[in-house]
Parts: sequence; structure tokens; C-alpha cells
Amino acid sequence: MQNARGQGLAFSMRVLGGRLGGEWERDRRDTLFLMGATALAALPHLPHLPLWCSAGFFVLFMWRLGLIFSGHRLPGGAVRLAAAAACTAGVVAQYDTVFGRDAGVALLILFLGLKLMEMRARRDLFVVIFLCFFLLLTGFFYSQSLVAAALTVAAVVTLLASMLTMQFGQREAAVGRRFRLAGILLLQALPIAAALFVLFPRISGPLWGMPDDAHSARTGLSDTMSPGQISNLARNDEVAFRVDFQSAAPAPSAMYWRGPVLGHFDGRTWRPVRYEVGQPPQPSAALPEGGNVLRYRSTLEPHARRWLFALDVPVELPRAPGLAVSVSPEFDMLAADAVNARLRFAGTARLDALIGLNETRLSLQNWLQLPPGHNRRTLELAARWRAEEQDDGALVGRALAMFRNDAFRYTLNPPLLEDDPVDRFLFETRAGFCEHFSSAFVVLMRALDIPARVVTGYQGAERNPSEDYWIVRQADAHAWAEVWLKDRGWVRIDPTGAVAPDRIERGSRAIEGMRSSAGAGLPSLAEFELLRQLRLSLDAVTHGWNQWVLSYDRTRQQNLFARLGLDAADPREIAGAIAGALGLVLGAIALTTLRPRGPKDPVDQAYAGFCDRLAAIGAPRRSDETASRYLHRIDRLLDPQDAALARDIVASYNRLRYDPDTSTPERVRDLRRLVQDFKP
Amino acid sequence: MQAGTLGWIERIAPLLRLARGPHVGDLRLDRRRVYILPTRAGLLFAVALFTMLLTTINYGLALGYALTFLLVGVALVSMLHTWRNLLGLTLRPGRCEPVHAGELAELGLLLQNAGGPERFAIELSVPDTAQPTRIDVSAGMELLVAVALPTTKRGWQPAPRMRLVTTWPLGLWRAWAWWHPQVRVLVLPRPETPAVQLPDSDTSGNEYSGRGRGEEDFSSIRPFRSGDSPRRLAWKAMARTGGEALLIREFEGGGGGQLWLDWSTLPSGLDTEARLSRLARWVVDAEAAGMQYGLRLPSAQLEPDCGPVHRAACLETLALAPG
Repeated sequence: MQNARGQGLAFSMRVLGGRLGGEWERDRRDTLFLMGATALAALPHLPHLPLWCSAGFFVLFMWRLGLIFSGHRLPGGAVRLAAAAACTAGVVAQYDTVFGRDAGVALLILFLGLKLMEMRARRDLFVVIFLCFFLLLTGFFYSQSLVAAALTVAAVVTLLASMLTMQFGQREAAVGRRFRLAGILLLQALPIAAALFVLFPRISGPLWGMPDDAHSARTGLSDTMSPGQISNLARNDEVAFRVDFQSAAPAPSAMYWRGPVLGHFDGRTWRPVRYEVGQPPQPSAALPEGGNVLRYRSTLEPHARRWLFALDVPVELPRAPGLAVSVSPEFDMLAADAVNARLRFAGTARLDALIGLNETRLSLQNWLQLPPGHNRRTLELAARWRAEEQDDGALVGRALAMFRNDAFRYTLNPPLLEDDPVDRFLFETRAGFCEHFSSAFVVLMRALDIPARVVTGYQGAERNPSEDYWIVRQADAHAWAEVWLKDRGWVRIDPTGAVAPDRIERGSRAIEGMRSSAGAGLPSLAEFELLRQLRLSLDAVTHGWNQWVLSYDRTRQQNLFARLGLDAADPREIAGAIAGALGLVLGAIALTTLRPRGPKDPVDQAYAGFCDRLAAIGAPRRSDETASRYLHRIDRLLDPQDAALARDIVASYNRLRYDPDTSTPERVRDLRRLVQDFKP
Repeated sequence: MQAGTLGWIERIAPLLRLARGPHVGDLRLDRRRVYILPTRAGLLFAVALFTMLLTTINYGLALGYALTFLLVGVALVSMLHTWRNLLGLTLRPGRCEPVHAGELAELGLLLQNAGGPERFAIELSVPDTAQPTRIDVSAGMELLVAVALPTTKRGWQPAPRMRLVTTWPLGLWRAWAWWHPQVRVLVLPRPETPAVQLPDSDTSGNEYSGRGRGEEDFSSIRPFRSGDSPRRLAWKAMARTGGEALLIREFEGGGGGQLWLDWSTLPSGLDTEARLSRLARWVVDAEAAGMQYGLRLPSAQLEPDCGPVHRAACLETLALAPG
């Protein structure tokens, strides 16, 4: 023990080398193994935890590791109590609560670190392992990707291996063997898990009131727009939704996925309109004759808001089993509840539909609001234009022409705009992102007394050729404008398209170059293409994973039950099905694993076959009999021909067993053939 | 943890007819002999899994269901593995040498693992004794273990009911089987301490008493019989006959004279056990001194002789003397 500290490294090498023998006591070695498993379980959490939290766990972990190597005693109760109080205080300071999702996870990981400090009895080891399992579960709050699943499986195998490690009596298996045994357990558990996964009744909605932060880690559009919000999303490659078109897909440049419509401007931030005058009209779409109806299915990632991002212009309410959808006066498709789980719905759209034909003079007043006392230069410009031109349509064209011709620049890193951002944008910086263009355009239109509004959503999509579906990413987030023109209703105008047609034609990938920091070793075009292909292939796998694993919900389960002829409403029937499936699977596993196994060695196998044949005629080998003695005993029971064969078999067996030099595959085969011919 | 869980199992065992009579011969642990229940850790795991399931349902985590059910599967499968760790093991009782009361008897047991996987971490224990024996049996191997049995009273002591327990592989389940082999240990009387000097051969008052002590004249030579002391080999005679057979010198008077160890000559103040204890001491000492000694009890009489066989016969007679 005294020189343990000096030899710590050597010990660890031996331990990691798989021999786990050596001079350390059992519990120290077991604890070290468990520490490795704990690290694996905690690892996926480090990216999203506050830095001090990760650091706290790291310190506790290294401390305990140091104690293992040095062999010093664990800290006393007072130290642990103080540390626990400090951890709780830290969490409260960070989150204002110890309840809720994020605070809970932070607390869990810190207390896991503390539990390591009082890990002495076997029960403590079990507690640590079970805490780790729970920690792995909480990792799914943040990511349920394939990578997260793979990391979790690795951690589970290691945790099971460390459970095995604790159980050894006198003899301990090598580390590799422990992992193999744990892997076998996991593989055998797989059919049970699959059966339960499919059959266990899914409940829609939470069991108890969820803390507010339950879905806080979602990215996506919000119901306000201020400069910089969307350009932040433009750097985000996360998938917003995926779309399969049943009909022919439109060109990506025509894909506008309608999100929040904003009408109230305070000079900096756009918010939903307040309808201060008049009643909003009933939402309705006029369909010109002979148009094409587009049908598609969209798989929407959870984004903690109600918008469904239907393809503009939706002509029917999106449909999904069990989903209640309403349409807002601004023609937004809204789910009844926030979308907190992946949602798959069927939608229809017509690119040529007209909306807002039933607006009244009064209701249109709501879309003319401007913050008083702001953007004087824009107002002056509008007054000048209005004096020269009376036709609204012509004025719209003139504004677009201004964006196109007056050296406006599209950039993801626009200069910061202080007061009167629209004035400064239109007359000074002239560089901005879609939110600047749409915002400035709508202000200009309103100044011209043309009803106008900002529409946010997504524009474009990327086709995945391997599976033929379209991917819309957060990077495709976009803001455009709608102006109300007589007889045409709300008309979509995309001022960004006037400045950066590439952004609309080729989607957000056209500005890929802009997104990486300029000049810093940009990949070549070929590499770029390769990366893109790779990313698309990965996304196809993810899409499948989402479709078949993550989206398995109440609806899909009910469909499956219906197909299996089960009554989903009858709990007895479901319980029966679960019990039946479990019994079947366990029975199958029991049959395959509990059956006594014969010897693995071919020579032993052949000899066992020989003995079996003799046992069948009533002359079983006694356990204390050697082959020769057995032969001697049974010799006279056999007729001469069989006896001769038996003598050959025993001679061959003895040679193979006791003279390893003669053991060749041919001889083994000969023995096997002799036994096959032996039919007493 | 162990004591607690097994404690209540022990209490309900008679109700479940888990206890059976002694078993003669080999015992193969079949399905009806291996019992299984969750350990305390297993129950804790069940609670943990339930919490995980509730969290999963509440937050609607698809992979949460997958992880929880995978662990449920592991728990169920590990039950089979725990059960299998005992199932099919063949137990064979071995020999047990007689010991004096108060010593530990070593009961030899053979465990055969024919046609099973490697069996790890089985504990063989005798209820109410200290340390269990930890056993691992490789696939297709046999293992000889010795179970130490405390002894207190002379006479036949039946082998106790033993328990084989395993929580392998995950410690979530405990499988156990009872084994009550039909073997017994002969417990000899405790030799009296401190030793009382051997009685004089003259005072024994029998027909050989006229013989002089320590005369060393042997009367005859006979062939070696199993149990004869090697100290009495007739080396010269063997050399003369060519050394083909082992010969033994037969003494008339014995090494230290001929001795009767007689119950009736013991002081009348001694009770039965004390008498047997003293006689046992004398048998041990007389044998060690190479004397010829006979034993006379109210119930039995053994003619004077010497050698391990005679010694064992004398001690057995003492052990089984009616109390």
C-alpha cells in the first residue's frame, strides 16, 4: 500500500491492459472500473451544462480518482455536506430553482459527483450505477440523434460490465470478457425491449405539469423579429422539417413555408398585429381555375411553438391523426398546442391561390401602423413617390427597382443599426439580411399608404436524392413581405430576391461561402460537394431513424394495433399482448441459453457422440471411467464388428487427446467419421 | 443486505416447503430446486426503472422508452442468467474424516459442471456459520470444495443443510438452492486436557499382568496388514526373505507393555462424558507411545492391539458409547 502512490501509473496501465489482477484490492479495482463507466455516462451532458457545473463534476471526479490511486480515505461527512450545500446553492443561483429540467440535470450530475465521494459499500456502487442510467435518460432531453443513441449504448454496456465486475467471487474474468458478457446480456434484452417499445401504450401529453423549461432547448423562429434574429439562424444547420411531395415538387425558389406574420412595428422589433380597428376577415383563399394542387407530407421537428410552416398558399387545413389545426386571419396554420414532439402532417397547397380578397378598408387599417416619430427620411421619400405615382402596383415595382439598382448588398454580417434603423439602412449602410430588406420594404410601403406586412418562415429546400425528400434547415429561415393590392389581395413580395436572387434561386446554400469565416482555408468546390453528399446520406439515415424510431407515437401505435387486430382501447387486450410477447421472447431466450451445451472441442464432441450412442443401448459411461476402461467394460456387450469399431474410436480418441503431436484436422475428421459409422 | 433478505426467505421457506429431507447420492440441481427472487439492489433497480419510465412518459422521449425497456430487458434476461448459474450443477458428497468434538470437520463436496457455461461467483454456505465458501466452476470441470463444520458433541453428526447462493451476473437477482446430503460425520469424544497419565499396565489386573514391562521380545512374525504401524516392520526378517513381502513383528508385551483402558477403574466421581473423554485421551496417547492397548466399556470390549485401525475402532466405540 505504501508504494501504491508511486506505482499508480503502472497499476493503471495494468488495469487498462485488461488483466485487472495484481496488487490492488478488489473494491479499488471495481471502483476504478465504475469510474470509467460514470465518465462515459456524464460525457454527453458536458456540452449543454453551464461551465461551472461541468467543472464541478470534473473536480469531484478527479478527486475521487486521486483517492483511488493514492489509497487515501474518503472525505468526512462535514466536507461532503458542505460540498452538497455548495452544489445546491450554485444550481439555485444559476436557475433560480432546483426543479425543472435543466436545473434537475445540473443537480443530478453534481450529486452523482458527490455520491462518488461516499462510495464505499456495495449498495453505494449500485446507487451510482442507477444514477448513471438515469443521467443517460436525461441526455435524451437534449438530443435523440443516432449519435446520442450510440453513445448511450456504449455507456450502458460499460455500466453493465461494471455491475458484472462487482459480482465476481474468487475468479475474475478479463476485462474483454466482461464487456462481451455485458454485450450478450444487452443483445438478449433487445427483443424484449423491441416488444415493449412497440406494445407499451403511449400516452399523449405529460403526466404532470411540466416545468416551463421543458422544451427550452429548441431553436427556430419566434413570434417577433428584430435585426439579427434570423441571421443567427442562418448559421444553424439543424433541420427544421422534412417534406415528401406526393405530387411533383415545385422549384425550390417557389417554396415559401409560411410562418409567423408580423404587423406591429415599434421602430426596431416586429410583433404580431393587434387588430386595433375592425374585425379581421375570415381567412379564405380564392382558387383560380386550372391550377395545380400540390400534396405533401411534412415531418416537423419540435420547435415549442404552434406554427406548422405550411407551404404557401395552403388551401386545406393540414391533417394529422389527432391533430387539431386552426388557421389565423393572417393565414397561418396553427396547431392547437405547441409542437413539442416531432409531428408528421399532410398538407396541400396552391402556388397561385389568392388570399385576403375579403379584407375591408377598416381591417386593412391595421396593416398601416407605423411608429410615430421614426424614420423621417423614409416618410419623406414615400411622400415624394406618392406625389409622382398613384398606382400601388407601380409603386411596389419602383421600390423593388430601388433595392435592385441602388447598390444594396446582401450580407450576413450587417453593420449595427442604432436609432431609426430603416432610415439608416435605406440611405446609409444599404447592407443587410432578409430581415432588413423585408422590414424596410414594409415600412416604405406603409409610408406609401399601401397595407403591408412582414411574413417570416422558411424559403427553399434541399433535395435529398438518395431518398427523394426535401430538407428545410434553420438556415433556410427567411423573412419576406406581403402587400395588399386591390383585386389581388395579399401579394407576396420578396425584396431579398431583388438584391440577392441567388439566395432565392439556390437557397441558403448559395451563401455558404458567406457563412464560413472569410478566407480561412475554405474547402474547394469538389470537397464541398463531397461534404454535401456525405451530409445528405447521413440525413437520409436520420430521416429513417426519425420516421421509424423517434416518431413512434400514440397514433402510429394505434395504427399498428389496428393492423394487428388489437383493440387499443382495451387495456386487458394490450396487457395480454405485452405479457404474451414477453413470455414468447423470454421463452425463446431461455430455450436457446439454458439448454445444456455440449463440449465445444471437436474431439470431445465426437467422443460425447460415441458415449451417447452407447448410453442409448443401456451402457452409459460412468463419470469415473477413462475411455480405455469404458471400452474394456462394454467390449463384450457389442457384436464383434461394433467392438472393433469401438476399439478404433477409443484408440483414435486417446491418441488425439494424449499425443498432441498427432492431432491434425484429418485425424479429427477420421474420428468423427468413425463415430458416425458406429451404430451399435 | 444478504442477511436481511435471506432472513425473511428463511422464515417463509418452511411454508413454501422449500425444505426437504436429506438427499441420498448425487444431486443435480433441476428447475424445481433452484429458487430465485430479486435482491435488494434488484428492487432498487425496479424503482429506478419506474422513475425512468415516468420521466420518459412525461417528456415523451422516444429514446427514453427505448433505454428504459432495454434495461427492463436486461433485468429479465439477467434473471435467466442468475437461475442458469445454479441450474444443472451436480453435487456429490465426499468423504469426511472423523474429528474430535470441538474441532472443525471438513466435509468434502464435489461440484460437477457438465454441459454448462462457466459458473461464476457461487457461494456455498451453511446457515448460522461464519464464512461462505466462494466457488467458481469452469465449463465442463469438477471442483472439490471442503466445507468446514463446527462440531460440539460426540456421536454421528449429520451433514447440515447447505445453501448455494448466487447473484451473478448483475446482482439484481438471487438464486439459491438447498442441499441436504445424506452423509454424516463421526465426532469423536474430545480428549481430556490436560492429559492424565496413562494407567499402569500392571494395575489393569488382567491375565497378562505378569509380563514384564518393556521386555520387547516379540513372539512371531506375520505378513503386513493394512493399518499396521510402519514402525513395526520386521526389516531383518524381510531382508532374509528377499524383501518381497512386508513383514510385521508381533509383540507379546507391546512397546510399553499391554494396557487395558478400563471404564470401571476410573474414579467414581467422573460422569460418563468425562470418562469417555479421558479414555479417548488415553487411546490417543497409548497409540502415540506404540503400546498395545485394549478397551473395556460396560457395553463393549476391544482386545488389545495397536495401529491406526485399532485406534479408530476404539475411538469410534467411545464416540458411539451410549450416554
